[in-house]
Amino acid sequence: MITKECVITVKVGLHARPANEFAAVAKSAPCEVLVGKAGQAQVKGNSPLRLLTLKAHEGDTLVISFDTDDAQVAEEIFAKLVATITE
Amino acid sequence: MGEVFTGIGVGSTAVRAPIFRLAARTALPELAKSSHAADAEFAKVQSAIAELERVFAEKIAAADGQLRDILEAQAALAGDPELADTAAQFCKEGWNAASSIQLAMQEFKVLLQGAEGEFGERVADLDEIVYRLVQIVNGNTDHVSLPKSGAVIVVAHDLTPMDTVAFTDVVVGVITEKGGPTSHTAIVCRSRGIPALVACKKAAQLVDGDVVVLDPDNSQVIVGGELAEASQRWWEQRQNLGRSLIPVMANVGSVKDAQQASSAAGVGLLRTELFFLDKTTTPTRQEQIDLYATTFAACPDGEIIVRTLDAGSDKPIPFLHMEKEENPALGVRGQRVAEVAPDFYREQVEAIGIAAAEVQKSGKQISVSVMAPMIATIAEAKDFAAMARAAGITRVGVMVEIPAIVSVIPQLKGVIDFVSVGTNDLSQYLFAADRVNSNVAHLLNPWEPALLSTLAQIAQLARENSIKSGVCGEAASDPLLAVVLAGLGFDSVSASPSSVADVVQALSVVDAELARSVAASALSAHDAQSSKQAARKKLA
Repeated sequence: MITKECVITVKVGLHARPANEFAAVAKSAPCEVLVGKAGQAQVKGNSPLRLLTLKAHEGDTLVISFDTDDAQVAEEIFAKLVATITE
Repeated sequence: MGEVFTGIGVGSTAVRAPIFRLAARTALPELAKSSHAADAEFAKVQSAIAELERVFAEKIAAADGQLRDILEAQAALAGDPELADTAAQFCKEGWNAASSIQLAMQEFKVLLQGAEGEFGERVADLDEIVYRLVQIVNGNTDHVSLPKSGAVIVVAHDLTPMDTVAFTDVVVGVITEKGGPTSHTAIVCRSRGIPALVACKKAAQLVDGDVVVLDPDNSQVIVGGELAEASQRWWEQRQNLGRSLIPVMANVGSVKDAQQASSAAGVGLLRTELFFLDKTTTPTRQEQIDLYATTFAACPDGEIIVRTLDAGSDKPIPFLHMEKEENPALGVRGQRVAEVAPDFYREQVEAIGIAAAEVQKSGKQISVSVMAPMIATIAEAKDFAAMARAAGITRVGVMVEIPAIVSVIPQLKGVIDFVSVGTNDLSQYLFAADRVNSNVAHLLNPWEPALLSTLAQIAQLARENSIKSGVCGEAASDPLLAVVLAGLGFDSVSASPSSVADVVQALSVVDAELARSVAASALSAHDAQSSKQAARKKLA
């Protein structure tokens, strides 16, 4: 399991279009992606409904976990995920 | 003039047309167990989801802009396997298909409970998906049958994006009982240019076929009214005097904003938060200098007022390592952060000074000032001014957002050069109304007489003590309110880049005497609605 952090900078927060794009990237990933707000429980990254329930706003820090030992794979997916929630 | 109903207006063009009431939705069926096998019920759930996805795809193809974005987001929620999986559990417990869908979505709604703002409003998306799925399961068709020709103003309890996608050119206006300024109905109507009145509590009293005037600018609908009673862009009806009564500056938060602000007389508020939100380590002095220099170069000529970093636990900056707080609005925010991270703030102000000198050297006509957010005491103002002047900044100010600082403005004489009012936060603290709680949003109306009278006091105290005053909150982006602010004695206003042109126009058709009388009539009103009407009447 590899874990990384990033801050949401899209104004609307993690719902609507950013959440859809985030879920689409997570779905296409070769490993399971879990995501949660710092210090809180994580949910499946490929589910727009679960992402919505995080209530993650602009400025919140997300903790994203990748069920893989391959640092390069995690780094690649992470970069794509970050692109969906930053401006 | 007929009966008048009020709400929240969307758009600025008034329209006159007959009312067309949309039928109320049928209630969801009561929860019930099934006599069929769980597999059979779940098959119904799956085929309903597939059908709804097909309907969404059809509507998405017909939509564009923000409406399309909204429908795509809803379609993704409807097609989320988590919904089907959860419904499958309820089917196994013996519930019928319609009940399993309702119970499954209820699980997600519970998780959204207590959410405010946009996340709270997403609950309506989940309700919409359940309603559509249950209609499909029960074999009901649900379609809006609008007249084929003519023009109507649609009235409904509430509208969903799927309802609005069916609107043809026949729909020239929309009135809903529910909704707020950021609800789907408002967003869709704004993007399609359809005037609307949302949160119109008495919309149920509007009668099918009655001709009404929908006047979004005045947030009202007049039964049997004439268009002449509605307000137009009032400043276009008056003679332009050739110059703005007071300078109109722009609020800027990024290089892109700065480029859009070219018609402004300077930058009245340069926010620096966006530069740091994604930084996990403290940016170096040189990184900051480069950032500010790039932004300054993109700004219009004139003064640029840079606000030092306005962070708080609700908008945390990773490298400042701020603690979670129970009530961020009343916690360590704005200038208070400078007490825990003094080095960062000193370096920020120094970097601003160096960047300003660099850009000036390149020949650009700017002067750079700094101001601190969330100042509550004279001591805080003194500390900030001393630090900024030590960094070579000659013009220093503070924001007036906390009511405590208002009455001690006279003691700031000689300490600072200007004050700038952030009306949104000032309202929040003055009315004890949380900015992110939509249940108290009505208290944050900038036309509330108590806010106007506090603004009058600020302008007067500043003037008496040779301190310049400006307003950079959202209030300054409203052309009518900008006239009131000029009349109250403020020396400048700073508006969002997209509003600068309208505010300049409005301030170019009034002289000082007229502005004072507009302000006086707004001040003497007893509520926000009549305050705005009184101001507007003076300019008729």
